[in-house]
Amino acid sequence: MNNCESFRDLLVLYAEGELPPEDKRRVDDHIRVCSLCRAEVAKIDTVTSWLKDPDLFMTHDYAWHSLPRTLADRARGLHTRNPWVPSNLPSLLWGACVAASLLLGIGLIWMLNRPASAPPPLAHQAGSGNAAFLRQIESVHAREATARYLTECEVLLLNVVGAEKNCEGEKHDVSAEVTRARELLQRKRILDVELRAPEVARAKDLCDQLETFLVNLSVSERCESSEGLHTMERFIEREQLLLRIDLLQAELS
Amino acid sequence: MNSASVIHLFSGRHPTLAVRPMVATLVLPLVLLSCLQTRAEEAARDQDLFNQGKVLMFDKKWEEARAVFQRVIREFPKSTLVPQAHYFAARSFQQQGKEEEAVRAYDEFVSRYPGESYLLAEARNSVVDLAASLMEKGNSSYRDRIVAALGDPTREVRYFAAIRSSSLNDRGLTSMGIPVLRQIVSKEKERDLVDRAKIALLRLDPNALSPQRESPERGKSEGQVDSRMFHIRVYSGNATEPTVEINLPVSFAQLAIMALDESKKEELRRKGFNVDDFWESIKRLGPTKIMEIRDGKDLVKIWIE
Repeated sequence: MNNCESFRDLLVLYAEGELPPEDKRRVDDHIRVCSLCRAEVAKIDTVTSWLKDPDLFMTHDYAWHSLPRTLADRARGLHTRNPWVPSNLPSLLWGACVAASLLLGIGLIWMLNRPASAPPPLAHQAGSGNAAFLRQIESVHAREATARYLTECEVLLLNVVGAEKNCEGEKHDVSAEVTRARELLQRKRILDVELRAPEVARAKDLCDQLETFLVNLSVSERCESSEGLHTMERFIEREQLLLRIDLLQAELS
Repeated sequence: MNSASVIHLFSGRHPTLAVRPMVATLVLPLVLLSCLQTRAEEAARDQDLFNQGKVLMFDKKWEEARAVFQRVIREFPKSTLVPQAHYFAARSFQQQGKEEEAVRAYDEFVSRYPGESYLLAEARNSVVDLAASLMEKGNSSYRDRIVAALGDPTREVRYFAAIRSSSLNDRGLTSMGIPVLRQIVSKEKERDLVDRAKIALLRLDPNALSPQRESPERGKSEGQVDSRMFHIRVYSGNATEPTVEINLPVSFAQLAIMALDESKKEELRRKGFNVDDFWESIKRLGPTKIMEIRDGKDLVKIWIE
């Protein structure tokens, strides 16, 4: 084996920079004096640079004219590479689509399973200002609703006291009053929410007493005995309900 | 004379007496009268006792009242007053502040007397009220009672549950009430009820009553209702963003104006607006014209559209 042959196997690794430092030094010394091996290294470098070209295996001179025009155009389009688009773009797109679908699915499941949606948050600092203003509106409404309720209770009390003896056995016909009492009891339930407001807290005791009266009246028969009616009248007088209604209305207005 | 003797007389098979039809004709009405009298006396006694309970309720003597109603139930089990006595006994618990006992008593009433239409709804509403009160005290085990009431077939119960729960600090529950509150606003006519529902909706969302948030059926069912909105903005100092930004149905304009500070109302009066009857002022304001008042550092803008 001549001297060149002993280096020939090392030249590829040398060209690729893969030799250990000591061998590389030996090959460096040899190719400095051997033109054949130097030329061999140059060839290897050329081939290596070709291999680094991604378009190496692309056909540039395909006989496109032998294909139908539309097919040829599509094929050319496929071969027209954009340097900014990665060659594995379709795979990336698939991956992105799968990820997006997963995210969408998870989002939908979360939306369906989350607790009933709360109303959207108030815009900027208007939140606390709105809440305070709404409380003022509620307060005004509470005063007005309480005053209206008291007025209607007053009318009912007067009607009960003046109920006529239109029933058999000297009984009093209170059918209209019973119906009205039931309506006012419904109103009182709603009003109870209002009566928590400090502005009308003073009315709560009177409204509760009126409620007791209304509950008793609401379960009466169409015809009430004189004794039953007197019990109610005594309650109205004893608690001074009519007077207290008037005073409270003046206060609320 | 007992009933066996009467049967013997009537059938003519009494062993010792030679029964004549005429005797039977005389005795039978007397026996029937006697039975009726006993029945009437019993009816009077249960009514008397029941009335005693009512008087005790008027006197706020809830414990004694409840004891009397329980006597009516115990001593006159066949009386027509027994359902009412059950209801009033439950109510006495409620008035005493014994909320959990009251819920149980109302539950018993509801299960025993499903045909008592009026008192049944009242009892269910009372349970809603008690459940809400217990929730406010931190007992969340009654939450399901309110949830069930929001879907109650009886309209009054459903409505009351929505309004009562709107003040609870439970966003999930209040959100469940929103469709019912919207139903009240779109279907009911009674002013206090509708206003109360609107306020509850506004508390949950200040723009809840804006036209785009209303249901499509609303316009059809309320052809006569003014669909314009009343807008109010309050800016503090030189702020560019308002501190109050609320859009209300025009029917709420009067309430909103009355809710303004007294100094702002005075400023409106100075500008010639009748604060106590703002409806007239709104009509004069015209569409989309913005009224501005400055009260100290605050700027108030009001308009309708």
